[in-house]
Amino acid sequence: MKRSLAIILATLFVLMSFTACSVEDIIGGLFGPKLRINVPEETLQAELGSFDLPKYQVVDEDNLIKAGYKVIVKKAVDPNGNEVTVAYNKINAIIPGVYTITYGVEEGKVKDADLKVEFADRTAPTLDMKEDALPKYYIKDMQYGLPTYSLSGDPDLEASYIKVYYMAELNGEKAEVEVVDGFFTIEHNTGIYQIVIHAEDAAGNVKEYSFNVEATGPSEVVEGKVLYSDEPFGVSQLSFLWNVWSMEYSTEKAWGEEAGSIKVTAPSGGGDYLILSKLIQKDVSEYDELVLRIYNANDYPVYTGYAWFGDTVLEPNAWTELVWSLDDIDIKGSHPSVAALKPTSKNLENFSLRLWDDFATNTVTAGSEFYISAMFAKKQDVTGPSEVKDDVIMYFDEPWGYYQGISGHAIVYKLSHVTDVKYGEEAGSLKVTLQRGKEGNNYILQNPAITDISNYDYIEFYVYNPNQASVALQIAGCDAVTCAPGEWTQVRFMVEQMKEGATDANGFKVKMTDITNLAIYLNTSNLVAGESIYFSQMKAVDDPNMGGNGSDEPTGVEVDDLVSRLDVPTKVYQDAASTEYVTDVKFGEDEGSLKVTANATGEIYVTIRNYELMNIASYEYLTFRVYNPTDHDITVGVCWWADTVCKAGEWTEIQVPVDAFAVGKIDDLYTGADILPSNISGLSLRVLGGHQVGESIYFSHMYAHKTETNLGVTSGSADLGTLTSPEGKEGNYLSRGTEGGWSTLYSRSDEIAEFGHEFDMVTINGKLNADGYVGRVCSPYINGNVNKISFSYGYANTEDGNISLTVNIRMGGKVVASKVINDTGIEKYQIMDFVWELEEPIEGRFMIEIVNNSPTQKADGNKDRISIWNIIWE
Amino acid sequence: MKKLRFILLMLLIFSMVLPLTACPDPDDGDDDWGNSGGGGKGKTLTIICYEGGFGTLWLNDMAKAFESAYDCKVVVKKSYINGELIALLNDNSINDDIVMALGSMDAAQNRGLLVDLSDVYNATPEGENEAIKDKMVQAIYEKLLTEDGKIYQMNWANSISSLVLNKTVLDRIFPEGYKVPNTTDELIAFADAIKAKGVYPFSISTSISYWDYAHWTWWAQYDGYQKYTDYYYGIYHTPDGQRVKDTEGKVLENQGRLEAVKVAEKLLKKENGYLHKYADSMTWQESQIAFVGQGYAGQDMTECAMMVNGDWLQNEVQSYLIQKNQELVMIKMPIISSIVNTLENKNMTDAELSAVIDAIDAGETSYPGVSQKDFDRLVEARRMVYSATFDHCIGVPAKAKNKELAKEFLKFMASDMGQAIYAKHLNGLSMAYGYEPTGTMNSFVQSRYDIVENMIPICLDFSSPLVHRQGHTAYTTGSGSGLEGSLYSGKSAEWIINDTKTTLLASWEEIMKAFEEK
Repeated sequence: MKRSLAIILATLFVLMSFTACSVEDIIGGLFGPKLRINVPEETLQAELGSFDLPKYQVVDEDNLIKAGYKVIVKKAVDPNGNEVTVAYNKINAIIPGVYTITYGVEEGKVKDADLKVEFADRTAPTLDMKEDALPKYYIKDMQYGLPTYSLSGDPDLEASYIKVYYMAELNGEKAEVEVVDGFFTIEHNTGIYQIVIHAEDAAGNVKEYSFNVEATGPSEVVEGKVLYSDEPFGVSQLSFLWNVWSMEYSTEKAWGEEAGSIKVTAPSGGGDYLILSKLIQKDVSEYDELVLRIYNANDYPVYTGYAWFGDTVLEPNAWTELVWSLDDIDIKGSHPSVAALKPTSKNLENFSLRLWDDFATNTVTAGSEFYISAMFAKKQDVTGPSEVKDDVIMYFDEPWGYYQGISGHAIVYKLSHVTDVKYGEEAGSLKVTLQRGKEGNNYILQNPAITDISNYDYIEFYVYNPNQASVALQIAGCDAVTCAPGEWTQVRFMVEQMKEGATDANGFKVKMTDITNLAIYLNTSNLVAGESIYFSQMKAVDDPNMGGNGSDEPTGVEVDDLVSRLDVPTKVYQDAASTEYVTDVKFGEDEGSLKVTANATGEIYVTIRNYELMNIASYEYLTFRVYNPTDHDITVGVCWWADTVCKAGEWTEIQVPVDAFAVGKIDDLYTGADILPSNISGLSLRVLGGHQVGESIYFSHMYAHKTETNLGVTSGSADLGTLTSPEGKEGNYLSRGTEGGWSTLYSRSDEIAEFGHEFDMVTINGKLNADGYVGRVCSPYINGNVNKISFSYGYANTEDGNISLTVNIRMGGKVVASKVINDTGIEKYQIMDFVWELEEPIEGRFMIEIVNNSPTQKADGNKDRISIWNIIWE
Repeated sequence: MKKLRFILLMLLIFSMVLPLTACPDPDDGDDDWGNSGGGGKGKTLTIICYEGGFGTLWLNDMAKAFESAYDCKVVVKKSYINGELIALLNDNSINDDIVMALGSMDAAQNRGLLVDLSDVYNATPEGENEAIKDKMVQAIYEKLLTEDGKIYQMNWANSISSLVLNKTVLDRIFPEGYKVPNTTDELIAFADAIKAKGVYPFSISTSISYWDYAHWTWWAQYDGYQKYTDYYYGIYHTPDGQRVKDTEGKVLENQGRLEAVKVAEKLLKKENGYLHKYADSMTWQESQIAFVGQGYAGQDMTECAMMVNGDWLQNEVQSYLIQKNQELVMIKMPIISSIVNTLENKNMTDAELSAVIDAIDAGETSYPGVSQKDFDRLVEARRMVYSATFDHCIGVPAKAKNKELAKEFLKFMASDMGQAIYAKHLNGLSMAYGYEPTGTMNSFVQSRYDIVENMIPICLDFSSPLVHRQGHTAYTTGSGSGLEGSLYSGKSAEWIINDTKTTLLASWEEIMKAFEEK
């Protein structure tokens, strides 16, 4: 028996030596206090997701912690019995239900313990909304959109919602406000609007996030009215910086027809500032100045100004009108104590007003009282110059000058009229302030007092540059003028030079007979933001020493040459309209008009197919009229320019500047390529909007307008060597134009040189094009007379040896003489000459046209091609 | 007695052996629970993150979880100005330990302003059995890996962008069903069909360049990934397939560029009528609001069927979906139809191309009648997805005070534990570190995961020194209206390409000097 006990003990010791136990463990386990891990018996509750595993200790029966044990998490099992990963002392619980987390000691003999944790989604979705998602207050009669926000934590979008309520007072009865398409209208100027975001997830967890926004507002919102001091609401718009003074709405004093004013009292004297803290219209950048009246109800003068500029004296016991330039505020605006708060014309909030009678202390006498009127943002009240002068183009020396022009890019320059900087005896100047540093831009003469300067020699004005760096001014075509720092510089732009290159801001040529929108480029790239230059009065000068410019003006006649009758069925983009040439509605001497009937309310594009004149490079503008028989306005232009409102029941003229073609403003609708003035085939008319389905409008014939100076011409030749197009003169059979105004259709010019001839020629195709084109050569309109036409032709590529051409002379688009050439048995490289002695000379404005008659009338292959060169008329 | 002596002997032996065995440590003073905790005790880690479409609530929670795991303090700061963090980083004037920015850190990386994060990528997060570099999206990893074998950036979003459908609208207007377009020709036909139903095919704001996600992908599909990427590195592919340094700007004539913009021109040109009427008036958020059925400013309530957008979209429009729930799904960008010009079989019809794409989507590895070379070419194209992942960049500034703790945070962020926190906040979205949340996802997030799998990321490659040093770019439009604005106003694809060519060629010599800069 004793031997058996010894063997048992020995075995025990041997086992001990291989296990991680101490004597104390063994003895304790067998004979000592019972140790356990103090995992709670109750089931914990936790939120699904990342879970920090609690830390536990080994304790004895008295719950005293036993040192020396390292309790670890042995495993964690999800409700489905699957072991889950333990990492970073956390588990990621993704399945709702009870997880079992088994704790044990790393070394030692203590029984494992299970922690039960019931995971569930118990948390409602979390709201993420920016602080500025809601306004500080809602203003009566204005419409607001619901705020933008997001919910995280698997929100149920069907169950979640947002509602708006109105409460007459805080915690009062709620009335739901109707929200339509995300917008709601404020109907009260008192009380509280409450935005409630109901966040709910699929587990039914709900949280409502509520935000209160105060309703406020004047009796009526007035455009441009900044401070409503003439009614009690005005008091809520103002605050004091230090609350030393007090204010109240008062009817004791009122400016003009106003009902009352805000009475400001300085009971104990001292200094303070009035601050515009609640504005309905923050952005007054469309205006020029702020106007406010203050009644100084004291027997001594008081000074006022906005911090820190614009100081003005308030005479005792009188109303004083204060007018502050918004330009000044943009540059000088500051908050009296918070440097970062800079009121500007874009946001007048924190605009501050100070009042003082003691310069040294910046304070007012105790008991001082003032009455403040409503404040308005206003445009300068100027409708013209004080006195019209014969030679003044821009009255920069008067307030009117400010209204005569604009900055090419509104952001770049801020314009204002000032009186503190002026040239000579002038009363003021135009101040041009750079708002963004290191750049230049145009100043546009939008409304010059003299538009026709063709009889003057130059325009002249003076520029003051008070800055450290120089600036330069230039009109395109003229020599640039540099304005040195610190002085007035005489600026002259010669009309002779301007004739060649002057443009408007779009790059369109500006005529000296009408310089409206003339652009002066101000190279202010050496200046920094906030620096200014000043313009004196701008004059047109007819310098007797220069002989007078006007005498050199060429004489000419105004002509309108037919471009297209629009009488061939036209191509309409995406069938948005149907078209028809009708004769019951027509403008002037036209035979008819193009009727366009809308099939859709969207934009309509009608591409012109037939042209009498394609090369309009020498003209000033295209012109056509639109008759709008509906009872509402419809906007019409071309693709993409000259959109013009066509009044109901009227013919409206639409002009498309030829320069618009030259600077790439007008494109081929289908290829996107720029349409060049040397050949405008592919031009599309555009009905931009205002029309309804089923309504029709009418397009007159299209003309090109210019002042014709090339009169009485008696002979000439086609300059086919200058044929060009975006593809050059070679390549595909396309439309092309020459420098001299000739144009070709369905043509190219590349085939002859290889046979040893260097003709300036054109090959016109006779294949029936899918779009209805046949090859054609066309002269410009010529003002003179013609007796004979001759040309050479040949190098034909014929189907059966036949050639057929028609030579027409047109006047006003109508054929007045015609000759047909029919040749048979022609060989490929044969050359022939054509001479046509007209039976009767033709005088006036005529055009020569040569058309390929397409003998085979085939639409396949490239047959019926014939080359023409050496076209001469005399 | 002998037996008693035996027992005493055994006790003696035991008492001698005991100290040598692995018995419990009485108290080593370590309250470490066998995990990583304690490594940051007493330290404060500062993280600054750009507050964009993904918000930063996820980061707040991730920081708390890291604090408890590492016994440290984490301060999360936010930047609300796009570009601010990149500018500060490039100026070496950022004082935080981790920077999570929107933009490109490549300039800072090349100037040695970022810490090498190789040991983060090489680490295996706790409880996992794969290193971060192995479990993550390989295309992202490979793109970030530098030539010297080091890697300096991570990403705080694996953001993709593609074509998003408003399924609610489409289901309503096509009750008989509809086929999701596989090719751009099908997309145009689909847009025509949508237009005929009185619905805008696309919502878009021309003020933001979201269509880059489309036409860049089409370009890459057409030219192939290598040629597309080489564009940014100034490497020209000769007709016989040689890759040569492009001293003449020939890459500007890569045909895929023109083909891609031609498709964009067709869809974006105003008069073609595929876009929202107020495309050039709406802000980006207004265009998104219009897309989810809320109309434009109460003026135009016409619905929209499609929008090119990113996977942040749902987060940004969630409050509008709450007002009017719409089911959104993201689809793979249709393959550019003209890709057939690059195949061996140039006569493949668009219908055949679409059928091959269906087979690719079904997991087929070949298609009857299509050469393996052509099939593989189309597989590559189908895997291409615009990725904004690289724009959401993370770096540890070289001057950071707590570099090691920052790395631990990044390991934690890339762990499944960290990603679970991210996904919970972003309703299922995750980063590029191989975590796909279990459980139910909404259709938008699920569709995004379907696209991400095995994707080839396409983006403007800022890692090229030509791009981040010399401003080499994909397209310039001269007028400042962006490619969308230019095409919308009627400019042609050819004009876009030529304008870009003119602009970039003017400084091509300078651009190529980027390789010489240090």
